[in-house]
Amino acid sequence: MQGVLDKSILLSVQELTVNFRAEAIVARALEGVSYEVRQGETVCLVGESGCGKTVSALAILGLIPQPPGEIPGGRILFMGQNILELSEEELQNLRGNHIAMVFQEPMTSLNPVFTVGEQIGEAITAHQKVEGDELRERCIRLLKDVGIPSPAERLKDYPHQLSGGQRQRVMIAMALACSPQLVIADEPTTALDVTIQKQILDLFKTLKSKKGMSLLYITHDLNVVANIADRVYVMYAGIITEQGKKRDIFQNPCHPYTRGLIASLPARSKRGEALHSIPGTVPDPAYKPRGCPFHPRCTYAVKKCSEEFPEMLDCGDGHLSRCPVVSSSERKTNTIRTHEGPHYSDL
Amino acid sequence: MLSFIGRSVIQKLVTLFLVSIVSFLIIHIAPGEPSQVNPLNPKFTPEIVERFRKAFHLDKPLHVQYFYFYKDLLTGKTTSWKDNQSVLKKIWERFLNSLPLFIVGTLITWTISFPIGIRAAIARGGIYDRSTTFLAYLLISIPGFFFAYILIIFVVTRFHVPVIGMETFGLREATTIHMIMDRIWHLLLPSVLGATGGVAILSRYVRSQMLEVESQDYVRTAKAKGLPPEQVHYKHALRNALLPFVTMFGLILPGLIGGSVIIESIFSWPGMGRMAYEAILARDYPVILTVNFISAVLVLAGTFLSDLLYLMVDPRIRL
Amino acid sequence: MNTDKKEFAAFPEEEALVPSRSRAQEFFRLLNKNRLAFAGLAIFILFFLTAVAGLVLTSGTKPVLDPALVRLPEKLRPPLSRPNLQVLRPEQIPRLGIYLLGTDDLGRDVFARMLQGAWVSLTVGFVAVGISVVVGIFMGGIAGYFGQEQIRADRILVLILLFLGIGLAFLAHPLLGLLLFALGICLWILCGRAKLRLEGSPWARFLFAETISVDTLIMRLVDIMLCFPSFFLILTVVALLPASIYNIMIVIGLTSWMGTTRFVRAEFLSLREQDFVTAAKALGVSKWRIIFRHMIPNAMAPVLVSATIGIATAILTEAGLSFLGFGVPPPHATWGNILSDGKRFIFDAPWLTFEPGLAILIVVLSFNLFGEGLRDILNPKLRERY
Repeated sequence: MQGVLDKSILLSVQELTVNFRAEAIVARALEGVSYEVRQGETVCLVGESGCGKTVSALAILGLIPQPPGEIPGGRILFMGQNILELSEEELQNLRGNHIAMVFQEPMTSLNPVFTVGEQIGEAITAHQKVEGDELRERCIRLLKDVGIPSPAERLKDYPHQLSGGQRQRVMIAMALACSPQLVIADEPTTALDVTIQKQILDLFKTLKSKKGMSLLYITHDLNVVANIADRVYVMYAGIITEQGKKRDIFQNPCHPYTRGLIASLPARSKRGEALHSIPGTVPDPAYKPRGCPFHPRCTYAVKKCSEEFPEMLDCGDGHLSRCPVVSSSERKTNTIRTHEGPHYSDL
Repeated sequence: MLSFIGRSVIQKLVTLFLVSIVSFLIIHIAPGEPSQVNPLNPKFTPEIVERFRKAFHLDKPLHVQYFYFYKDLLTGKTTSWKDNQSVLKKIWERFLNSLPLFIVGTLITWTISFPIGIRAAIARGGIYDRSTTFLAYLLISIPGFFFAYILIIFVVTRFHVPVIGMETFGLREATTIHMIMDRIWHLLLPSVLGATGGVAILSRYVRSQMLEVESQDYVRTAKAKGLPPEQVHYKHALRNALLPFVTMFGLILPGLIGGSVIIESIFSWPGMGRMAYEAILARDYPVILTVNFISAVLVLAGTFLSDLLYLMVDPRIRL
Repeated sequence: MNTDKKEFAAFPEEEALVPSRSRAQEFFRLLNKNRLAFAGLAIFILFFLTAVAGLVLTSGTKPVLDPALVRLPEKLRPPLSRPNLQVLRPEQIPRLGIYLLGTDDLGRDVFARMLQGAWVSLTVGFVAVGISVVVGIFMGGIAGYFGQEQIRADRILVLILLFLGIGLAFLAHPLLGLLLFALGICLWILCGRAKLRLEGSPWARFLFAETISVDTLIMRLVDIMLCFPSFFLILTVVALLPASIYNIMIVIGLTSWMGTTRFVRAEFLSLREQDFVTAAKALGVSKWRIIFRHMIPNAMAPVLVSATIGIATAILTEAGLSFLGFGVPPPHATWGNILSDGKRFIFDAPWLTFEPGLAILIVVLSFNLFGEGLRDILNPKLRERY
């Protein structure tokens, strides 16, 4: 049943639940995760390793292997269609063409036995009928767009002949080959040197404004978020704990986890003070605590936190938080108990 | 590249030299005399024994014997002690007998293993995978002679596939086509037998290579690009999975001189394996040492070929 | 912002959520999951008990079940057939009242012979692999750990003298051999003392020159061994030496250590660079303790896998040798020679072929399955990922 859609929403993940089974053990990677990406905006998905951000991205492209994985609930709407219900062929049409992904490890994400030119060319010919010189020209242009010098020579190179930063640029070029509407970047700079990180980040910003695409950027680094995000979703242990515009998140975090993350930034510590860190570790996805998954590490926790699973609370103007303790004291306007996508009305 | 080849060849030659010494020592240090020279053997008078010893320099010290022997070997003049034929001629004849068996067996092995292994890997955990896995284990574990007899019992009584020798007696007068078909008919059982073990092992190896490659990141990238499954599996994954097998090609070479003693005994196939076996029993040192030498040459040539092929096929290795 | 650090143990009962298991428990849990490996292990235990029982029941001068008792009137009787009490003397009647697995062409009880053969297969498998594993770990460990150290010329000289001396002493000239041996020892002591004093002189450059590295030496040895087609080598040695079970075990063991060496060397090469080794060295732990206590346990995984599969191969090889007539000398029964004796009667008495064949098949299969299962268990990469 189709509802009235706000045309500006490109991707809408709704109550997505993903489990992984290993014999009797069920790892709940995602539990009812909802987020959306609108036309032309950059959304950042932030969280520590193991919180499920990569899993949600893979689910969007239908890349979760279904024997160990299973998707018992939720929808992923892209341009009106539910990706979870598409056939394999329709998914192939989507991948690389409308939604493209840049992966985390440039060292292993390129096939070592094919040249750069062959792999980029393949990204194009998978969806468009281009060949010969025109194909070559497009590849060269793509390489130039991502800032690789002497692109014509680089076409014949093998991946092992390029540096990490260059390989990541090639991955970005492959992702942009068919001018997709949405690019998902899964921690693209984590495996690279810090100096290269800045270059890649600037590259993303330039490309986004040039091509007018939307960007879903997954990262664990708040500095990156501060740099490029329009809106932010904070994830922890398979759920969204807080979401809102970048400004609201940084200036007025309404969730203890977000506060802990921000306080842990080295820049936030005064000289001579011990660096702040959040005590404890991320829970094993198969053995999550009862109630709010963050409560064992939370300095604001009360008894209720270990019993009830918290709902999303509105802190005003699209800023939502899953902490009743903090947001009730900091809340600016009225409380809307559950978040059901305020821009989407189901008839 | 050239320096690599040069270094490799020199190393292999040194190894070959050492192998020749070691095999010579093993033969001569082992207790017991070759039957011809055993003074207790009633067929030989003492004079014949003495002449034999002189002719083959058996009375000289070991290192002199070594030089004589290998001089003869490298000039092709070694003679067998058992029947006084030229060793190389004997080997060549038997080699020609073993060759069809070897070729057919290798062909069967390599052409069947790959599709089986690849399909098992792509549909991992499914019925096909599990049944081929079980079958493979069974074939690896069954003793060759037992399997041969099972095949013989069932296949021979049903289909009358021949089990003795390479051709039916008295068929020399028949037409060529008839002869060729007869040969093939005789080849069937022994080569299938030889191939089954190889298929089991190779297909498992193919499967595990394929599985390892399929879990790599670049296969995921290929899928994410929107490529259809054939391209993902057969273009991206397979090309990487096949790399080690190209090198295995070179290692087929040593198989030329081999020849399963057991299979040849069961089917009375006059091949290399039987010849080496008979030579060992009769302590026919020239034959044993020659076969050993040729085998070492083939092993070293085979590994050399493998290294070369690997260089050519993997773009990551450039010397 | 409130960043007070509260006591972390606010909710102590939440702390240990993931059940913790010891290594042994984890191993058994994984073993249970992999049913084939479990079956392999179970069959192996059964085989082991059978072999031990067989040894006990069939050895000695008056064994409980006699494998060598010839009863010519009763030859080639099928399994589960009753003995013909008219023609048998009282001590010839089979213990169990029937011929459980039939009789062979000399009227011997196949069941008793199978039991006797079980022990042979077991010991050949284990001892041969034991030898090859010990040699393999030794060679591979030295190649991996000391790999880059060069061997000095004087050491080689000493070794040659020592070995030549021993060889000659045993074979031909005891006196000469002993002399050479003594010369070797003297040289060893002398060179050790003289190294410093001779430094710089032309003698030093010759005597103490570095020849090849330990790694290259051992790998060349492996290459040489690999040049010999293994079955032929075993056949050659076994045919030339007097037939005995010990010779067979030793020969099979000494011709199959190459694979283990390669594995151990590879593991050591990578382990050597790891931080825990550096840490141990920094703490002053002695070289040998590092190798034995720290590195070898970590390198054991591929060795264990290849060892179980090696046992299977050794059993098959022994059966093959018996089949060709080179195994344990008669009348001692092995599964291979029961099959070999039976091949002449394949159509008349197929049980003589099937019984040993099936037994070998099942035992070898169980080892192979267990080995493969072990590989899956010990391989962290293949574990189910979340």
